[in-house]
Amino acid sequence: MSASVRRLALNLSPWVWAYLLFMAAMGLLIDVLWLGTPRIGAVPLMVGLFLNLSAVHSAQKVALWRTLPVSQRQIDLARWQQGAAFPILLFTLMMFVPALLLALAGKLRVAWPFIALMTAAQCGGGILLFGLSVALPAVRDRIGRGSAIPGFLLIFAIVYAPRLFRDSSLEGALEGLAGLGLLIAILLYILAGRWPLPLPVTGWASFWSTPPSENHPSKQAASPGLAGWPALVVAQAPALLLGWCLIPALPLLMRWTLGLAHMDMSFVAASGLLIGALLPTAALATALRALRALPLNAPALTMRLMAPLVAIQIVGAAIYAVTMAWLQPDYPLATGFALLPVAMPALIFALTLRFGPRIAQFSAAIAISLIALGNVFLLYSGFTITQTALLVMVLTGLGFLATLREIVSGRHAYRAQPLVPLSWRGR
Amino acid sequence: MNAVTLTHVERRLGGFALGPLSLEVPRGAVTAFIGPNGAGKTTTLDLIMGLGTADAGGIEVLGFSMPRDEVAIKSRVAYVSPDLNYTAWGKVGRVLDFVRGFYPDWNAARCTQLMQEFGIARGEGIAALSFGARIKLSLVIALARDAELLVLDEPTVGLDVNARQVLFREILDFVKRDDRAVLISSHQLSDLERLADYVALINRGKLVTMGRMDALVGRYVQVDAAMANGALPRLDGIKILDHDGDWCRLLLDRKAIEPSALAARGFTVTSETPMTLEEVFLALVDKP
Repeated sequence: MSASVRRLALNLSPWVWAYLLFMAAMGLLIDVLWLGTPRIGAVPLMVGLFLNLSAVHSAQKVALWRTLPVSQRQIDLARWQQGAAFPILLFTLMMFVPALLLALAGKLRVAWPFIALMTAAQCGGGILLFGLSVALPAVRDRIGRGSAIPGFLLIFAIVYAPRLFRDSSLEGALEGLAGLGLLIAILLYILAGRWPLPLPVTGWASFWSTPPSENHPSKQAASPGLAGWPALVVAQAPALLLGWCLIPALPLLMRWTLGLAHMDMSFVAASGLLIGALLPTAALATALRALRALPLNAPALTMRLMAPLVAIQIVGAAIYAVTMAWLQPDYPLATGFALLPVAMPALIFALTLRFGPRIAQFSAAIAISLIALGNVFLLYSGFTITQTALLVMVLTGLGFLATLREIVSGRHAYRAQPLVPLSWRGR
Repeated sequence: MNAVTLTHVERRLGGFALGPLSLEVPRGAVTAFIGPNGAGKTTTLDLIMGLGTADAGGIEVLGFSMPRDEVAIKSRVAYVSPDLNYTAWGKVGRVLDFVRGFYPDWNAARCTQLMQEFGIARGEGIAALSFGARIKLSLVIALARDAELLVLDEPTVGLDVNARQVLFREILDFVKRDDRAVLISSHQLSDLERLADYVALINRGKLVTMGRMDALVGRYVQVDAAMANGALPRLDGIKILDHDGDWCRLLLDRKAIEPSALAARGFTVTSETPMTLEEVFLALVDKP
């Protein structure tokens, strides 16, 4: 590895290191649990998902990397080191070091060949996802903003793999995953220098970066003659429709592709529900400077921003309830998954204005974590649907007040801007 | 040998087409690259820096060929653009530490001096920097090395007067050595007129004119004239800027026609006004 590639590959910000350490600790915990209790199936595959995300963070830096005296191949090789080599090394250490310690203590419950197979499958899962993130921009340029959907499906597929393979040949699946990952790693290495540029905005915000294919004047829709807020809502319509469509589409696709006919899909559908409003939330929060210049006082502006976002989520919640009643009538409606997303835009909006665009970048992860934990809390607390609705109203109100406070006197509210330009130079 | 030579370069981006564009940036001089918004300036500079590949034509930078020798070129070229975003590094010092690792010619003392002149500190958070301060950081990174070519894309955007003066002083110092060159794109034409030795004007992806700044500005003259027979002159080298009755305002390209030649054609020249770069720009660039 050349010095330049090493410098690029190790150019991780302290907060990314912290994130990696946290994820590594989580992964280590899962691995140790599995080594001592192998009946939990293929849960360690999730570790591969956690750590893959580190490679995505470099996307923000590629704009500067391209101006440095390094070749495109060196840039791609640095990304390969982060997305393939580094996880392989880390997964191996995280699995074999505790395995060795458990073996010495006489508490190892898994055979060494199977440990090696699981480690290879972890690497394979991570590399598979990394390969997807590398290929996604090229796919996106061709088929537009909905191209991230295959990524979501793959994430869910790997997350649900333990259940999928619970009663079938887990070894076979792990071998397949490991082999596929190895093949993709080799392919990516050979093709280094020809990779497409990463998505200019990482995470969920990438939906907002218009693919170059949609930039051509002939592809741009004619103005429908709307002005003011209706025009803004219409401009957000593609993302809203995408989110609403995902509510039934994600669980249906999961069932078709993985054959999980009897599994509870409440959480999968709820993630679709979240997407609809989180995208406009991030876009509006980063555009606050322009919005604040409108002839509106702070409460009026806050109301006009919050009301449509909440309305969008109420429509989404209705779609969610209908979808769940139709898709899985045997399961009770998870009121937490249905209603908590209604409060998320207001909360995420306020957090983005307070803590900057990274919140928008990770808005989906934050919101999903909050509704997952919130749903568990509501279940164990025995909240009725009315009580849940009241809680959601309170949370939304708090989000509204916090947003208003940031708009009036926030120090950072008008500095929230996209992390990187929404399109790459030279494309 | 020129610092940059573009030969019949073409690049298509969506509905925009650059070129065929041929351009020469001489060494030992500052070359201003001007044009209206959307003319193709940034696309051209991007191609010189290897940010994208030309569809056709040749790009030679400091004797190397882009994209074949991109690493050699980038190690000798310093680039400034308002589009460069350092937010991912968090702190000013982290960006500087990262970038300096790629340049053996990095001059730490000079970096410190530039930071003092521009008023930025290593410990400052990048997200909290003003827009102008981010440009200053780009300039520090570009000027703290012994580069041979400075490619400056809108470097004065957001800069205060003091910072602009520091930048211009640095640019003039930079080109004191005959082997160096500066290619600067900006809409601050009055600044460029004082600073640049050469100027290239581009419009709608095509080169309109290129030459020495004094020659270009001196080549064109604005003439107010009275028309003897009310007929506007339709001659090569004459552009009608305005007219009202018998009066007309003309832009004359002295290379094609001298003002004195108008008298022979029945025009009475009432005034000749030397032009500024901005006026030449306005006269040569068609209104959209």
